[in-house]
Amino acid sequence: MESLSETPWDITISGTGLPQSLLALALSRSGKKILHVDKNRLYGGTEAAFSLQEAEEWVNKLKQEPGTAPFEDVSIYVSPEHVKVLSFSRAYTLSLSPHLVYSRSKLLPCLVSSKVYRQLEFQPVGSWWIYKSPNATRTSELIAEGDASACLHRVPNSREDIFADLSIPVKSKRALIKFLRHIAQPLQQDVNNTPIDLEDDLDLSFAEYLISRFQVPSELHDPLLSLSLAPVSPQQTLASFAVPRIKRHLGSIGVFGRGFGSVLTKWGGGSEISQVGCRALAVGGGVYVLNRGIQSIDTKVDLQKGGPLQLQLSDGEVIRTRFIVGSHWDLPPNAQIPQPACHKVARSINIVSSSLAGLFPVMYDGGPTPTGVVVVVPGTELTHDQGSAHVPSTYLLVHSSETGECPAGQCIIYGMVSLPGSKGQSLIEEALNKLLRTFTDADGTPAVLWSLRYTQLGLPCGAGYSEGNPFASPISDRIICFQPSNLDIAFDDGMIDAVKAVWKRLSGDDTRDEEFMNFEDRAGVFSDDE
Amino acid sequence: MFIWWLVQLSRTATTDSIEINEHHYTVETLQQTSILLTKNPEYYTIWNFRRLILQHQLSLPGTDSSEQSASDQIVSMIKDDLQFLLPLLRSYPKCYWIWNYRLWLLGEASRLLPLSTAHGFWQEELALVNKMLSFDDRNFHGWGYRRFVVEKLEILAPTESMTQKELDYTTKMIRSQLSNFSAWHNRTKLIQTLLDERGASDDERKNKLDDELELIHQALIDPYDQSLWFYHQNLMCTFDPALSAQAIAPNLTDSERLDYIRREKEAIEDMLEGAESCKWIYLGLMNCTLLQTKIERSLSRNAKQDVTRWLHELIKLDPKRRGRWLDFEESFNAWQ
Repeated sequence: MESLSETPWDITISGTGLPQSLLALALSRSGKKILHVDKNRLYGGTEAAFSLQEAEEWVNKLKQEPGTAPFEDVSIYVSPEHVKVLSFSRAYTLSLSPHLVYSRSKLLPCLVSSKVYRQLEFQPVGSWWIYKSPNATRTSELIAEGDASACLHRVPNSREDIFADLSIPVKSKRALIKFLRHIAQPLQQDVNNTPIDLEDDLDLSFAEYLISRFQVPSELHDPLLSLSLAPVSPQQTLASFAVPRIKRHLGSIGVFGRGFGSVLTKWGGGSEISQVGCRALAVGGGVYVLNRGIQSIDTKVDLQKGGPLQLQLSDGEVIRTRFIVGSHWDLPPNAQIPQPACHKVARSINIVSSSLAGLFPVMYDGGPTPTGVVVVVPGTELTHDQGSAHVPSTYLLVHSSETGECPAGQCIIYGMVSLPGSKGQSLIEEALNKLLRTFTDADGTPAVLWSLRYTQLGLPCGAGYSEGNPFASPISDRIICFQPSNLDIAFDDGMIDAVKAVWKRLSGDDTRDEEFMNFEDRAGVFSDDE
Repeated sequence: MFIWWLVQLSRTATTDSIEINEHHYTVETLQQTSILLTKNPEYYTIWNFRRLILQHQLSLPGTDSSEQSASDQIVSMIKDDLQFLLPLLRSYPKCYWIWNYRLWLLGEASRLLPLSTAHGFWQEELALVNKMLSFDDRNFHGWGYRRFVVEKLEILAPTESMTQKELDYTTKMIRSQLSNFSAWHNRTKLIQTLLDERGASDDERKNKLDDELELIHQALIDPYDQSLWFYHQNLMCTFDPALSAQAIAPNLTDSERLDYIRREKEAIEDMLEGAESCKWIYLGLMNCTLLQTKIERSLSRNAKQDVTRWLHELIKLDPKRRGRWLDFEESFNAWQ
């Protein structure tokens, strides 16, 4: 058996984050000699999932070696009164990438046509909830837990939801329905077949757009905007951003089943998909080495000549390869990858002492129970920071124990807000507390048992991968770098576009687009597709 | 390949018909019909054969000396046969022959078994209808079948009326899908039955009417939905002297009717704001006005102008039915 340094590698992939792992999947039948390394001990990279122990190790490593990953300001909080309630370390799978995947996302057809979907389990994402404090003039709606001070409202997704919502006045309902009908149409014309000059309208802020075109009153702006997962307020968000995303949200409902339009991946979100991708390449002959990153690229060799590149792994081993692919944090400094312009958001992963079952009603009688929901706390609900006119919205993704991420009786709340560092963390904390207080019952208020807090760097929501495709290093066009992950809560299809672009580059000019992620079942695998 | 299959089928069918002709109503023949029907449930002759076989089998219990009671044997035969039908129904839900056979089986259960046992079979049938309507909630065949099953259940257990439960079921279905023509339609029938069953007084009837009008106006936040206007129209029949006898509140006075219609017109005019291109609103206004003239037995100039104006909107908004609206305008102008 050849050693790593003796093998003439075709491709070396660095890092097992989601884009690299999807690339591995795409290349898994290519027959090329592929070496896939990761400087970390675990799979998943920026999309990894951790047990409690692994999370601690991750935090310690980042504190010792800052800048080696797109995360900063990392810390762990353990509630002293609740240490006994916390289960053992491996009872938890805490994901850095709890993405929800819309039903028409490009990711899902890839997973199906590449046949790896059987190794994954997808679960429905349920209602969107919005927090509205009881001081508002509207009467609050009770949620299932029967708490009279509850101020969580289901965000209406359909005419039927609007019909059932007794707190919205009739005139507002009509405006909402008009908006829904408009959104459901193909963009070019309205019911009268008069073409709408959308360009003008979409330049407005979402708030102005709703008022001027549909007379939707301002108290409905936040709920509508939440369907677009926009990071900031309706006044700060452009209609051109919000409208297509709301269209996507509403248009996704019912594709896989009644009442829901998006799914999440069981057992840890993106990390599970990464593992499946890497497994596919391993079966296809790829070689996996963890705990080894690329230390440096040999720049003494003439890189433009077309001969193999030479790189050194962190253990000193020298590797010869034709191509190198990685992310900014997986490629060595002497590859001279320019610093990406990153947006920063504060995120946290919180283990909560209650299942918050009231957030997860079935979508219809006899239907499935969702395992994830989105709770939005608009900026106006939280205390204003001195000097900041507009506080961004806080999103709380609640995952039930059915996701496999925590034991029964608890849940995981993934918080995110478009403000980095301690300012962002305090917003998330305040939002979390407000949410948990609505679940106060005879046993008290649910508590946060444990919390991982960090600031993540990445591309802002709405900036697709297509803007600035995976680019080549200035020292050689055979060193390819993926852009940082998109900080969107919903899986960003731009990642698929990027992976496809790299796959094409690596596979040669005569590869046909239809071959991307399109495989037959391997011999011996029983296909139970009907 | 297809020819071969056809030949096999007809060979088995021929064997079958020989067996049937010779009255070999055996388990083996039954199995043969199962094979044939699984391949082609539209072959109705084979369903008839199966019926003959089963009829014979069902007459046997009580005549032999087995340990199981006659009733138990019949129950298990019918149960097995109903089971046999289920996968066929899943694959061919619109095949009338399967449904006919199923109804015949259930009829045999009613005929041969004690009331409570038969009732159990029909209860399970209602569960099956629930399941099918949850997959396809606007299938009017499904709703028709549901009415039939409920009717049978009420015959077998005459002291329990199912009307209120069925009414609640339509409410549930409407909440999950507003545009459910069949659910709204079923509602019209059930409300009538409910009011008759309870011997409702005129006041109670009026209250029910008010409730339903309130409900439909809540739903009409989407004025573009035809199913809602159908139901509204059905409610409006109460105000039509020619139709009120069969409606919810038959004994309203003319002035009460006019009052209601006036309020309806106001509510519908309200809907116009923001929905000026909705043809149903103009149609609704027109129908209200025509009803008014019917009761008052006169057509005021204002009313004539209004109707003409709305007709012109309809001609603009509904060009596919231009001929119909123009025709109506002609006969309308000929009034008085």
